[in-house]
Amino acid sequence: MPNVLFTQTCNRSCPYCFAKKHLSDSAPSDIISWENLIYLADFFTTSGEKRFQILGGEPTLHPDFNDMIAYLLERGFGINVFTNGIMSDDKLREAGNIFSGIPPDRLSFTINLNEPKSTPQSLSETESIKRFLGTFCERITPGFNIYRLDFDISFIFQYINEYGLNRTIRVGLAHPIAGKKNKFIQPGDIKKIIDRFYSFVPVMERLRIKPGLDCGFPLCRFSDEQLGWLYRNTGGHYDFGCAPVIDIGPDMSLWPCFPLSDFHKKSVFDFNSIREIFDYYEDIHRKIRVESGGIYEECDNCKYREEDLCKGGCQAHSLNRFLNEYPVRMKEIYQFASNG
Amino acid sequence: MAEHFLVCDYNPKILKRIRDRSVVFFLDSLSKLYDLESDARDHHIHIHCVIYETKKSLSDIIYKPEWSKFPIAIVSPSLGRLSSFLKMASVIKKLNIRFYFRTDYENCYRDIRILSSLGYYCAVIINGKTVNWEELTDLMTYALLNVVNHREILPFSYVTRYYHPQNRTDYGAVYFDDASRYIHLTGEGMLALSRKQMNSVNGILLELDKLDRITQEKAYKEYLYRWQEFFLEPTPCACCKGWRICLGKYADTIKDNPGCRDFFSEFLEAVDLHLKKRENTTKEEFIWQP
Ligand code: SF4
Ligand code: SF4
Ligand code: SF4
Repeated sequence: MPNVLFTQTCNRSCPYCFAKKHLSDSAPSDIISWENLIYLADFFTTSGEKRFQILGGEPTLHPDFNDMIAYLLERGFGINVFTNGIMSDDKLREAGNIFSGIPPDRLSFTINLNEPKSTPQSLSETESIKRFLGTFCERITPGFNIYRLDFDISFIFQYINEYGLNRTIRVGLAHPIAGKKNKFIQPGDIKKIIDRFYSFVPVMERLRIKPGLDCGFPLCRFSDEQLGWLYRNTGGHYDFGCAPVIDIGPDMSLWPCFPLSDFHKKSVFDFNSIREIFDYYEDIHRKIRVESGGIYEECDNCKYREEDLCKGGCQAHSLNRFLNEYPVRMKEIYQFASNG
Repeated sequence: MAEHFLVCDYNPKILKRIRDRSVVFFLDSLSKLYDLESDARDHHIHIHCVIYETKKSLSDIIYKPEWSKFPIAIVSPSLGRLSSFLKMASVIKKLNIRFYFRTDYENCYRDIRILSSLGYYCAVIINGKTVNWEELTDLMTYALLNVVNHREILPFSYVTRYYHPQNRTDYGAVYFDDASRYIHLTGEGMLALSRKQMNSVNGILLELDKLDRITQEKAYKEYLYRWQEFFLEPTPCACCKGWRICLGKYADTIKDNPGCRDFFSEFLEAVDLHLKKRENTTKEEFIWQP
C-alpha cells in the first residue's frame, strides 16, 4: 500500500532522515489539499486498496490533520500514521477525543523514536512525545531507525511497558539518500548492527517484545540462530526485501521510496491504478538489479537472490554508487527528476 | 397545468389562506419546525420543503432525529469542522436533508466535494459575481464524471435529469426560482414570480386569491418567455453554446466575472458524457427533489 504525504515539513531534524532531501527541495507550504485527498481516496477505492499509510514530513502538522483522518475513516479506510509524536496539545487532545471509539486496527500509529542519549531532544519534545504515547497507547507501534553502531533500544522497552504500546518494535536501517549526504549504515557494518540488535534479545524475550524488520536487511548477515529467533517471533512474516513502497507527495508526485525520491518521479495522474504504479517501479527496480545484484560483491551470484529470498539490500546504495562512481553508466536507469 | 408550489416565509397569519396548497417555507429557526408541522396539519398544507438559511457552519448545528419528517434545505456558509459534523453523522444520514452552499464563500467547492463524497446531498448556489468559474468547472466534472460513488450535487444532476438536447433546461427550480413551478408569496398575501421580484416595488403581480388564474396573466407569460429577449440584440448570450442550460443567468455579471461561457460549454459536454455513461443505470432518489 502506498504512503501518502500530508505535509513536506517537519518539526524535528533527525540525522538519518530519509525524507531530508525531499523536504529540503519542497516548499514548507506544500500540504495535501482536500481535492487531492478526495482524488486519492477515490483512486485507492477503484484500485481496491483499503488502507492509507500517512506520512510527512510530520503529517500531524497539517492544519486539517484530524479532519482528514476523520474523513478517510468515514470513507471506510484503515489508516496507519507515521509520526514523530510531537503534536500540539490542543490538536492531540482533540484527536484523542475524536478517535477514541475507533478500533486500533482501523487507526494506528507508528511512532519514530530517537534514543535520548545519542539523539538528544528538548524537554518539551520529550514531554510532547510522552503525551502522545499516553493518548494513543495500544494504537502505537514504536519504530526505531538505526544510524549508528552503538545504538541502544532499551528506552523503548520502558515506553512499551509504561504506556502499553504494541509489543512489536519496527526496526529500520538508515539508508543512503541517492544524491545527498545523510547518516546511514554502510553495507560493511550491517552485520555489526544485526549482532548488536540481537544483544537486546534476552530482554525482548523476557518482556515478550517482538521484532519487525524494515526493508533492506541482507539475509546473509544473519546467523542461523538469529534467523531462527526471527522466524519464531514473527511467524515467518519477514522478508529481506527491497521493493518500491511508493510515496505520493501532497502535489500528487510519485517516487518509489524516500531514498530514491528523485528517481523516475511521476505523477498519480499518469496512472489508472495502484497496480500500474507498482508495475512501473518494480520494472525499474528489476533493471537496477540486472546491473548490480546488490550491496555486496557476492550478491551477483547469490542463490538466495536467485530464489528471491533476498533482494540484495537497499538499492539506494547501488544507485549512489552509480551516481558517484559510474556517472555514465545506466543512463536510462538513474534518470533523475530533471531529465524525466 | 400542474399546480404551482407556493414559496413563503413561515407566517402563521397567512396559513389559512393557503389551505390545501403545497408550500416551500423559509424558516429563521429550525426549532419552529414543530409549530409549522402542527399548523400545516391544521390547514391541510403539504410541506414541499423547509429552507433554513443560517450564518452558522454545518458542524455548529445540532441535528435532531425528529427532523426526519421534513424535507429540509439548509443554506450555510461552510461545513466547519468535519470531525464535529461526523459525530452527528448517524442522525444526519437519516434526515431528508440537502445542504446548499453559496459561491460567495471560497471554500464552498471543497466543502461540497467532501460532503458529496461522504454521501450527503448538496447544492451550489451560483452567484455570477462571486463564482470562481474554474473551481465550479472542477466541481461539475467531479459531480458528473467521477467514477467513484458520491451523492448528487445540484444543479448539475438536476440538469442531467431533465436535459433534452433540443430544448432548454432551466435549473432555476433548484433554487425555487422557476415561475413555471414556484410562485412566491409575501406576508401580505401578494404573489410574485421570483424572490427577487417579491422584494422589488414593481415585482408584485397579483393577490393570493387570484393564484389559479396566474398562468393567464400577460406578465406571467412574458416572464416565462423573457429568454427570447436575449436574441433581440447581439448579446454574448445570443451566440453562447451553453445558453440552453444557462438561459442568460449571468448576463449581468459576464463583464466583471467572465468565464460563464467556457463553464457552460464544458457543462454541456459533461452532461452528454454523463448521460452516455448512465444509459443503463437508473439512479435512486432518496430525498426530496426540487
Ligand atoms: S543477495 Fe546479497 S545481501 Fe542478499 S543474501 Fe545474497 S549476498 Fe547477501
Ligand atoms: S531502496 Fe529498497 S531497501 Fe532502500 S529504502 Fe527503498 S525500498 Fe527500502
Ligand atoms: S453562459 Fe454567459 S454568455 Fe452564455 S448564456 Fe449564460 S450568461 Fe450568457
